[in-house]
Amino acid sequence: MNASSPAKIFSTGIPTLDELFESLRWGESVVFHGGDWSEFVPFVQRLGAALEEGSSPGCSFCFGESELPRLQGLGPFQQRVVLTAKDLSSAEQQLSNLVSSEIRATYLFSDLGTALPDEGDIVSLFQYFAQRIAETESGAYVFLQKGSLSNASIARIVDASFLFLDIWTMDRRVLFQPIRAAGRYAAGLFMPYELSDGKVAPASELDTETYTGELEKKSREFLRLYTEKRHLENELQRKVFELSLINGLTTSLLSTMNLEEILYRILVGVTAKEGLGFNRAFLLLVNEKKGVLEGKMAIGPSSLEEAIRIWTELSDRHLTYHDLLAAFDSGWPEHDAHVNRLVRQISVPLEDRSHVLIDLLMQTQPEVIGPGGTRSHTGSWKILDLLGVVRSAAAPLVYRKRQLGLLMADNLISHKPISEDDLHILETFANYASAAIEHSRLYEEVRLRMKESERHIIELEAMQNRLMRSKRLSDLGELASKMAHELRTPLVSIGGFANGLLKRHSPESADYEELKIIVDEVRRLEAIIRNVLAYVSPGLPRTQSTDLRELSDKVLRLMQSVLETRHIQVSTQYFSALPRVSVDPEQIQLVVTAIINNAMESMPDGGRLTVAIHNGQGFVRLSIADTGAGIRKEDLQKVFDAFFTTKSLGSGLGLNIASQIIANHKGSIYAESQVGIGSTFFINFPVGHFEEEDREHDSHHR
Amino acid sequence: MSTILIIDDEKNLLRLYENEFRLDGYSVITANSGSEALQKLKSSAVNLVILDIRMPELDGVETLKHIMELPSKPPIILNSAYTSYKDNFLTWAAAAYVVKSSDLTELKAKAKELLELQAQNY
Repeated sequence: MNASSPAKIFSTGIPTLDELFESLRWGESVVFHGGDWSEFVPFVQRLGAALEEGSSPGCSFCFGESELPRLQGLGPFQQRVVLTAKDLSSAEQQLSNLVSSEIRATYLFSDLGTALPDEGDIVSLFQYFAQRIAETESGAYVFLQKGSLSNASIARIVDASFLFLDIWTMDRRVLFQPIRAAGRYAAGLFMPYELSDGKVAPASELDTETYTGELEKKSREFLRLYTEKRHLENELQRKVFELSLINGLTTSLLSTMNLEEILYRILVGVTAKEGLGFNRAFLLLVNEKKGVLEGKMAIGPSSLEEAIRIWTELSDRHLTYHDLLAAFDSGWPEHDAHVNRLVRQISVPLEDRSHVLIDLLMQTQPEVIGPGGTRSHTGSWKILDLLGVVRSAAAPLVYRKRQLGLLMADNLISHKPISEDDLHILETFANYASAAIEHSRLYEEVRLRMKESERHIIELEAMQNRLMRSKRLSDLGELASKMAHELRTPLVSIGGFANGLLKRHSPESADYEELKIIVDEVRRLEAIIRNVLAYVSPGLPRTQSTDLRELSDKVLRLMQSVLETRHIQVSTQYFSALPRVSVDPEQIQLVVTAIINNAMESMPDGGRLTVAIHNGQGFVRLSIADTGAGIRKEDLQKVFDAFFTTKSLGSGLGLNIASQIIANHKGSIYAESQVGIGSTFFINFPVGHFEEEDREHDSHHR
Repeated sequence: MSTILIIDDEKNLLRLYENEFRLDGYSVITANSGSEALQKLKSSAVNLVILDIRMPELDGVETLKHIMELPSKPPIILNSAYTSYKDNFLTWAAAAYVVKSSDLTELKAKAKELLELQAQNY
């Protein structure tokens, strides 16, 4: 190599990083030899860190054979490899090691002719090498220094190779530069020389030194172009993935309205290597109820080891968005615990406009916070410190000028700088996230409204049913009332005439018994009608001074047989000094009967019925207690509603009529109950002014 | 002998009441309608009126009003199959309200009571 070559040669030892960077530019080669290995390794590590941070240009290295295995995995460098094989198998071994490390390298096959005297060995080595390279994603530029290779062997090597290939000899007689890439000849990059028996273009003017230098230059040019091509390919692949990701997201939006799931899918897209390729993603949402911006969800590894493991698992396959989702679904959440803990620590009041996150939320464009950002954000270090990174990207989630939240992403592991491009794609994702969040919110709202409507419809239906039932019953009642009244008049005639006849017959006469039956049965019919009418429309009470004890005893006597058949024990507790009350005894009898009927129905297997009458402050209280099934608390208020019960018409109307009658008496009725223990109904009859009013009322008819 | 005017659109009932009250020693006049009753009240002296409420054309309540306007103003017992008219204050002008029943005891007792009261007042 001569002085005009841009390659810098350090022959005396390890350079400092500053020295190195001064001479390094993208694609330049640095050759150094000599120096101490123990110094070299830390140097390479420092350099690797600088490369990861992005503060160093990329570079090529020339390493000797012995260093190679030790350098494997030390840094993500493009390696220039000098291969000096001693024999075929060691050459194969070396190549195998090199190629599997997946690097883009310049290979110099030096003096293979002397190491491998058999031309056939050289050819098969090369074929092996080409095959290995072809199996991987690696790129290679190969110098092959011809020793004693014949033109025929060179032709075979050229045929076997799809690589960038230079071959030359030291004796200037054979200079050979077929240039191939991916199986195709790419001519004209450098003058091709072929001095083979004077058949092809001569290059006699060119000395080996110059030629080698030129080749070196070309090799770098090739590598640069190749790298660029790979870069463009990656870019294209990324764009394609981004499109498929967006397509996947759109499909996701259509297939699910589950907010969590949509957000999760968006975060997967942000962090997928083939997607945006961020290491971690965080989502913060505005909580309008609490008035805060709060951390909602995050994905990303918590450590370098975890990241490497996960990506190694994923990166070797060509994954679609859905594969990624599936991969994340199966293995991700447990790794996410760390980042989710981090993000949930964030909760910032929306009024705190000076806070960096609220400031970012109010923007329309995504931004980088930390070094390299477009603006400096006061207090951003707190957030960055919490997240444990130097810089982070943040995109506001805005939908129709409404701030929904913040999508944040960083490169904790790779330290890759966040480019303008990254921000742009992040913005695209943020837009999708916004739409998804808004759609999901609207969907949820619609769902709630629909549910509410359904509830209203059900309520309306129930009300309609009740109305219809009430109408039906009122129609029925009206019919019953009409019928009862209509029946009364003929019954008066039948019973009246029979009674007249009866009076004219002596008890010993032949027709007396039969006439008596007619009279009694008519009286019975009339009693039934009276009861029916009382049920249907109780009317105003016809009050008279009544002893409730007598009334209660009368009802119990009338119901005695039915109570006995139902195995219900009856006991009474009457207060001895009770004032008489002004009530309509017929109506109150109905009330007591209705409550006892109700009590009997709650004790189908028998039980105990206790009727008690006590004297209270300004009222007399009659209570009827059973040991039945009891009434649920929520139903207790409803038992007096018309048609509340699902029982027969009679009892359903019974308690309602009872409460109506008691209300007409200006009294009160209520119930206490314990499910499984029993119910007690209380009726309070007022004592006092009611009696006077009553007398006044009565005087019209008496 | 007291004269009772019985007004009802039901001929059978009229017959029953007429029989029963005659047997009890009263003089009985019957009318099939409110207007017929008002006619008869003009020509005859009546001590007590037993008046049905539900009748075609002139009903009991209307008839009651007319009777109360007469100078003689005999006491009236309203006699109806319905209890509901008791809530109608127009019926409160009647001396009594008895719901129709095959058992005539209550009706007869009221009639007797009112006629005795009337006799005392004279």
